[in-house]
Amino acid sequence: MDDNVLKIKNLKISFGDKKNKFTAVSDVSLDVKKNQTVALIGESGSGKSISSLSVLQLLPSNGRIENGEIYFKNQDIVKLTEKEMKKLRGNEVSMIFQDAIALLNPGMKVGVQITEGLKYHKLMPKSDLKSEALNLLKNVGFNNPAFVYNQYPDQLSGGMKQRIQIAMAISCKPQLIIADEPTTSLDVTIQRQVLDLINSYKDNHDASVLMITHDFGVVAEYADWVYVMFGGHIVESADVFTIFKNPVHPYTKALIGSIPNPEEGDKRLKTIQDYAFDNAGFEGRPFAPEMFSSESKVFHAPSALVEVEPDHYVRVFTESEVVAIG
Amino acid sequence: MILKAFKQPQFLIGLLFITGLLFFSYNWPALLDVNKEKSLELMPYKYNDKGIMIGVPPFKPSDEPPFGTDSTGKNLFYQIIDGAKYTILIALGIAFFRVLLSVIIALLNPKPKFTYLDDLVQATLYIPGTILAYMLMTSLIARQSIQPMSSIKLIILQCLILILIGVLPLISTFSKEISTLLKKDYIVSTIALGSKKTYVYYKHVLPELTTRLVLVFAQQMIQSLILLAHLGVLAIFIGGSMTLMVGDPLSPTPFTIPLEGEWAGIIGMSYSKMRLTPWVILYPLAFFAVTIFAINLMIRGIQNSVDIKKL
Repeated sequence: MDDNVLKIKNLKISFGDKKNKFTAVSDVSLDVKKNQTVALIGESGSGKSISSLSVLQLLPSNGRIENGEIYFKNQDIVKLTEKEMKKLRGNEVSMIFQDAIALLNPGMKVGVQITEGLKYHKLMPKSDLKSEALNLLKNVGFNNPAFVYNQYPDQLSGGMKQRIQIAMAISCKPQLIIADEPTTSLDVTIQRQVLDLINSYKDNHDASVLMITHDFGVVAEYADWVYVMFGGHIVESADVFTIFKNPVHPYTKALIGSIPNPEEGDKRLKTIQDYAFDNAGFEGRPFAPEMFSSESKVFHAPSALVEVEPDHYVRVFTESEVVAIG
Repeated sequence: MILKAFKQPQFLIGLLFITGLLFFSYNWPALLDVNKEKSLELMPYKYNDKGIMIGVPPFKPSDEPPFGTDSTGKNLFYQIIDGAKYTILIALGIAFFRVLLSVIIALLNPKPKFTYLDDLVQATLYIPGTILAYMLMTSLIARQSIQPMSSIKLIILQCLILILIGVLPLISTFSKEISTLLKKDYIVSTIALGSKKTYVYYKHVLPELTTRLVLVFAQQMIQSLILLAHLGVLAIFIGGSMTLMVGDPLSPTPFTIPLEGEWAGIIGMSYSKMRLTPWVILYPLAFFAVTIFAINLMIRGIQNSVDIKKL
């Protein structure tokens, strides 16, 4: 497992009971190396957040890991007990969620909330918690930490709340940060600040980041490695330069093609649907791997990630010929 | 939240009435400069200064001011004042333990595996609590007549029945509220930081529930008062009762009187004579109504303080 901080192997996550089972994520494998930012990109409902929640075993009550292994520092955390997971959460792996507004308790001062992780993991005496909270507030860019410490979440702006959340996430100095669309609810002027904060923490503490996003702009700027997810599968993975230079899967192409290009002038902005095959044979799954199949009848045939060039993997049908497009 | 409620006039009026009544109930002999035992003793006949019998109870309010007497000749005003502490404290205790028990059970098991619990609770809501309490209490009193027990033990067992009757619907209510709270994003975020269940409950769930708990507690107190009044009508008295034989010595009529002085007992023992002596029923009922009104005022005050907070 060498220098992988996180390694997910053949993860399958389902919801519901045996009669009404829905598989949200299937055959997902990914690696996050030390001091690396890995982006997991895809549209809403593709299974990105569910995959990341499974790392902390925070799946909703009707969800479960059916199959697969999740290794954190060579330890299979799927097999850990709840007590062991509590020691891991926040302390070694922490999470930054999308909606900072809902993620802070409106009835508690932010200063107290920041040190919750330190309190659980008993990393320092209670008397030092306040000074550490002030330090953390300073580290995430607040000029007046003592004032912010005593504020309630409702008294802060969206960007400030997100920075508070980052302070909470980094309080125990975790080795892996899972950032689940950390900038989605923020305006563009704040997005960069927030991403820079996460990035500087990663560099300063030799940590790793698993960034979940649907924004290729964020991926281009911060990611080292990219996994593209669609319909609960990883459909393409490569380093960030390869993904942008030579995207193979039509879904990846569609995502990249949807980035607004100022040079295209008054041309209509393309959407993902513009890249979809208008073919009834695909039954509403325009980016399904069968696009690579020479036989349209094999709708449910097994697929796998195939190395189309060194360190560049694309999902194709295993029983059909790989057709390089583009 | 509670401090903010003190700024609400409705809450203050309600609280002052309840505490004032309790204070008066404990100290009325000293405040009115009367002998408690003498004031509450039975008065089978009334004599004038010359020792001539001038009447038999019950006496009207005009004959024995301010509220008259009951059928045993006991002064109604003193009975009501003395019984206020028992009535209010019993209702308070029942409401408190109902809320406490249901919250503890709901916290221990916020997502009951028994999925039919709600349906079961809904079904039990249609059975009047008074009937349920009556059935359980009569069997307890029957047992007491065979195997006598101390009045403290009897009161505790009776209160326990009244507590348990109201616990099931409350467990269902609080379970739903706690499960909703546990799904809130900030709770997930706290758990993602490695928090323990006890911390989540103590720091996040209970503070959020406080207002609701206080409101439910006040509502339960009203329900308990109503239940006590209903049980009184059915001649079930907290602390047990004593049967006197009154009327024609050759054909005596049994007359049940409560051993403790709570208001429901006063209503219950004279319920059958409502047409002849309406004041014996109406005055305690009025006190029930005013007490419930005072608690409602407190509820309104708390609700107002929460609404202001939201604004």
